[in-house]
Amino acid sequence: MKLILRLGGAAAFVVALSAVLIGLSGPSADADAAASVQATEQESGAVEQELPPGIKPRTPTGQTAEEAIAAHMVASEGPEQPIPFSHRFHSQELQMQCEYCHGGTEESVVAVIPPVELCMGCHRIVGAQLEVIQRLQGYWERGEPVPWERVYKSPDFVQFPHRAHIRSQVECEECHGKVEEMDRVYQYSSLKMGWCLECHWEPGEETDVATDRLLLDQFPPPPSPGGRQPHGLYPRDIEQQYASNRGPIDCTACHY
Amino acid sequence: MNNGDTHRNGDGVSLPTVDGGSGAPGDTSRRDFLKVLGVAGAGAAAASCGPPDMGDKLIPYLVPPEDIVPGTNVSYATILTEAGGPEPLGIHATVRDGRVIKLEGNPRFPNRGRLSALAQSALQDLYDPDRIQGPRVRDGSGFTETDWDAAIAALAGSIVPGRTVLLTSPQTGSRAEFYAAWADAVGAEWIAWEPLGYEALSAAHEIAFGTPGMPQYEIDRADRIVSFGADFLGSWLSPVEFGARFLESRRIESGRHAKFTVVSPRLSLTGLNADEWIAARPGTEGSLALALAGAVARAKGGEAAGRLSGPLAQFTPEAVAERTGIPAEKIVRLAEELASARRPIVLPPDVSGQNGASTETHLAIALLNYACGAIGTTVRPGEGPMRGESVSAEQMLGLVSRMESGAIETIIVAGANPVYGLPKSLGFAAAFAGVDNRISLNTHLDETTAACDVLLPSNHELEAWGDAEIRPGIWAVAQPVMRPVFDTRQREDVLLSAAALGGDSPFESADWKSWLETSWRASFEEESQGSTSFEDFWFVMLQAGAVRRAPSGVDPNPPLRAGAVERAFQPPEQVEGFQLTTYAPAQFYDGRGANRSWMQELPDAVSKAVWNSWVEIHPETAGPLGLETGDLVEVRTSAGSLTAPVFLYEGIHPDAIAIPLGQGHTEFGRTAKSRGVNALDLLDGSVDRQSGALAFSGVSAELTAVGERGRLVILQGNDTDLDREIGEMMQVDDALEKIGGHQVDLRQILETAWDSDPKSPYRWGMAIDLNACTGCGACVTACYAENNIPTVGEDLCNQGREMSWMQIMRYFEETEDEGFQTVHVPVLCQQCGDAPCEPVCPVYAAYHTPEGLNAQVYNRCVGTRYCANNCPYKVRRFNWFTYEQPYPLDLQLNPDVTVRQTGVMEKCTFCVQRINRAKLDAKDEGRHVQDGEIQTACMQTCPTQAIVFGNLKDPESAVSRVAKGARAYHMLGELNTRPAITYLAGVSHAPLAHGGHGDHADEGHEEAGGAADDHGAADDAGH
Repeated sequence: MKLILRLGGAAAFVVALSAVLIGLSGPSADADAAASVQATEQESGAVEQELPPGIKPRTPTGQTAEEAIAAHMVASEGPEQPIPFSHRFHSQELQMQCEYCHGGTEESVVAVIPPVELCMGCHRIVGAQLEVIQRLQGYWERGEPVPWERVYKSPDFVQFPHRAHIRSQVECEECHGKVEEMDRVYQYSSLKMGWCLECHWEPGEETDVATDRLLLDQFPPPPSPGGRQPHGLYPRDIEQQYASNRGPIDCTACHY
Repeated sequence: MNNGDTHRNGDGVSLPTVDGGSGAPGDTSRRDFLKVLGVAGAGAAAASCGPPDMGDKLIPYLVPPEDIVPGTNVSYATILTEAGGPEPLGIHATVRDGRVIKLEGNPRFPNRGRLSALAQSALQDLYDPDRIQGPRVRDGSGFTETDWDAAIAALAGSIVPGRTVLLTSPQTGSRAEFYAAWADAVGAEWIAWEPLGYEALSAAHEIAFGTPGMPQYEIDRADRIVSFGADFLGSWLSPVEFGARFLESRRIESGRHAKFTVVSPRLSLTGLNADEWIAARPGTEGSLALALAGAVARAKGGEAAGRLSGPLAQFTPEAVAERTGIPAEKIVRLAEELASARRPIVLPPDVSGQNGASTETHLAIALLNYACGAIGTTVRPGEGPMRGESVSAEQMLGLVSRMESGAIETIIVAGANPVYGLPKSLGFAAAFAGVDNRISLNTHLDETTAACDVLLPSNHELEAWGDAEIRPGIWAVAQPVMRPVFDTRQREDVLLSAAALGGDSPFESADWKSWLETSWRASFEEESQGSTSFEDFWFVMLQAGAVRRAPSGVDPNPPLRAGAVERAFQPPEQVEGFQLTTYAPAQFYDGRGANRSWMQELPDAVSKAVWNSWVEIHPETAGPLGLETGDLVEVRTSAGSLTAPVFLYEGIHPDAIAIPLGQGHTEFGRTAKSRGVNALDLLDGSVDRQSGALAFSGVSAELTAVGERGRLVILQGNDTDLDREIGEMMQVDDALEKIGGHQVDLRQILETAWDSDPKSPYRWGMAIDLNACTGCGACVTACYAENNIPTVGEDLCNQGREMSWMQIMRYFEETEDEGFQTVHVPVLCQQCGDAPCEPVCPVYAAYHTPEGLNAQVYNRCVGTRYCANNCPYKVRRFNWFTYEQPYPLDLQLNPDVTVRQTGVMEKCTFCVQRINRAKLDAKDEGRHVQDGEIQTACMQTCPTQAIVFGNLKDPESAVSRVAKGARAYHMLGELNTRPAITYLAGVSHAPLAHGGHGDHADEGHEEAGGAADDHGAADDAGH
């Protein structure tokens, strides 16, 4: 539950009025849940962000928008999208950071699919002459969200929090591949449990014998000993909560 | 959503075939749907009717709401005034991506952050598929869709000045002002009515002290509690608040344990928590109260003695003993105890004791409180919950005759259901059908709405703006926490639109929200004197939920008025044969909970029956008739008759029979319709002579055995724990003596090979205080809401296939004075250190986590059910079907918890989703999870804080400290399963037959072994 403390000048006044039984600070009570869905123009100006450590600046290859659209249409992998959106063009040519569109990953279990309003922040003007952008504007004008095709889907019984991975400084690219080279995004990783364990588990490292045996039964050790390197980014004593610092391998970390 | 074969059974729970249609390509399971919705939010999902078919699409927001990150929970403060029970409750509504998924109490309200079972289930009211989904007009026997403009025009056209009635539930705050002003402007008459009113209580306090309205009962301050039958922990006045207060008065660890005596013909949920039951003959409570008042006044002396001794001289214990059937020495002893108590409190009866002389009874109890010196200390007249002006049943009878005479052309029903809620004998339904224009602004297609011609469905209160005066001078604000699920509108906006049609609006405010703000702005400007802006104030107000707007203006310690004593005398008429008493059960209250499957499947606190009505009779009464629990019986009164199964109950006077209210709906939705019986049909419509309140009891009834078995599904195998260390009690003196004593050795839990990983800093554990648990069932419903537990319906419950992860066992224990005591034992997964379920699972689905939980990995489970068979606590539940929830009930599902399918075993895991969230939060901040940071859903909602959860490895955690107490024991401890749940024995003043917990610990093991062939701790469910 997210509690936002927002006490304005009114606080003092409420203190004066308030009875013993009623306090002050409360959860964020957005004034009008219904209205707020339609309200507020998002600030979409400032694009400049500092690159997180470890992110390499990308080098544009000189692809044009028309080429990107064409490349999306003929790509062999991944579903065709209702608008031939090229991740390569936006990410590599225009150097946009993943989090600019897919925000919220530090707090949320999901990586946000950008609202149409965010697209329109640029595309009211940028590329307005292109048919595909006019298609986007059509969605916007009709008040319809764009029905993007889903690429990544974890099974119903898996709880995957983006938040924990982003906070552990797992790069987007480790699971999603080099999106900046994908004209049409496809599923880069298998999302199978054995694949998860490549990071989460080193056979023999786990002192909880039962867990190790349980995993060994079903998941033979990964081909390259050691698997991926663990991300030892949390303070030492917190990491030691667990037998390894590779992230939890307890079943209930993901299955509940 | 699901194109597979879906069967609906009679319970309104749809059951698909075993494969659930989930294998068909292109099908979207509920969980897929939720995931899609999780990204999309309400903007896309809630705008249209019916489930959007989104397949494998990702639907983004068009415009993102401010401050909302998809996939995270946000909570909003609002209030429940209608859907939650008798009292206004402050809530925090947890909203995920535009949908409310959980309700929790607002700690700043009198309900102290807790909610009742009924309030928890308000979500099912909001997402009820049987709500009216848009404006409708009558078309023959059914309804046809119309548009809002036409419906509002029909409403406006029907208003005939001077001949129109607006019928609502009682209102406080701005709504009361609004309805009065609206009715005035259009020439209508505003009548507010509620079925289970408090007219007699209010009238008695006006006569006695000149303060109408509800007294504030400060039970927490009392050291001696006597109740004349009010079910104050279940359904009377302010049960959630009273739960917390009741616990305070009996918090044994602080050396207090107020003895609690119930004087009534029947033991309610509250009565089962009493130390002593004095089974008064029905209808004699008033005389007893007068006898006690006289005796207490004489003993205490002072002003009360001067005022009361003389007039009450005729009510000697001996004289009253004869009337009430209670021995005189018991009356004398009770009077002595009340006189010697420092701060006694006496509570009145509720509707189950409401008869033709109810005001006199309430007055007699007010005099007793006065004699005890309770007025102004534990009982504060006029300071209690605000109920709003309302009319009595007698005045409703006046309305009926006006309808019959044709004096009323139009009735607008807005939030009331009199066709169901008034006894048939009053003739409301017939008279109503004869009114020319019948218009409903209700949310549901209830009995009254079904008899209307134009339906303008209003928003649910979780979708609506509003406010309420919850205590004199204290106002709370309600705000919408999500967009309307259906094509409904704010009720007040509809009325404003109708008033404005065809001319200028008579009001300054064009809509209800601005009306509300105008009302608040006026009082704000008066008080603030420009110190801050209204917008800032309003914003903080919406976050906080409530504020004192005006001084209460009531004198909490008023003098006794002249003439009050004399008016308390009229005794009720004597009744021949059995006395019928009807009562409001906590799960249905006045019937509003009946279309919520969580409430239907919540075992009644007394009978533990589900999905039905029953007739409670004493075994002595049943004997001559040859009746056993479940046999059908016909109950006949002068007003009518009905047939229902009997429930044999030691806690009812042999002269009385009792039937719960709230069932027997003829409309209202698939879950409620044609289920059980409506006990109101048996009432003859007589009223209390002074206040006009409906007599819900004191009706003469005949009982005839039908000679057939009925079906009464009772979800508890045994009424006693067979002395197996399941539900333990101990004597109060014993408990007080041993406070601080150490009994349970925690190392036993921590130092076992199969328990938590030594490197893990956590070992989750729980302590459940049976002294605090009242058996109200709030935890059970909170668990349903949090963990996506399906309801299965009466048929499957009958087969022992209910899915509740938590059950409250109600065990009776004999006492040495031939009475009985009750202990309520919440039974959930004990998260054993050495769990019998784990080693028998062939696929490691039952798995021991490093933090000591007995996890259940649903996707590994192949459904052998070995684990459930091997569980001594019977807390594992097997999915015999995939239980689909009809849209939009599925919108309530918690996206953080997997929705289970056919063939999967499931169980409590201490809300592991909440544990994981707290661990992530802690990890982000580079610390360990702090004590109290994780609240399981059951613990969070418990009105009496009976449940403590935390880390057993931290010796300073609350759970570690509580679990070491002298009352601590492990359920079925002799099995050595090393449970993580420690129970604290209940505490009673009654002389327990076994001497209580601890006393028989030495000899108990032998006996337990012998009883092992009988039913286990719980019902044999799931296999």
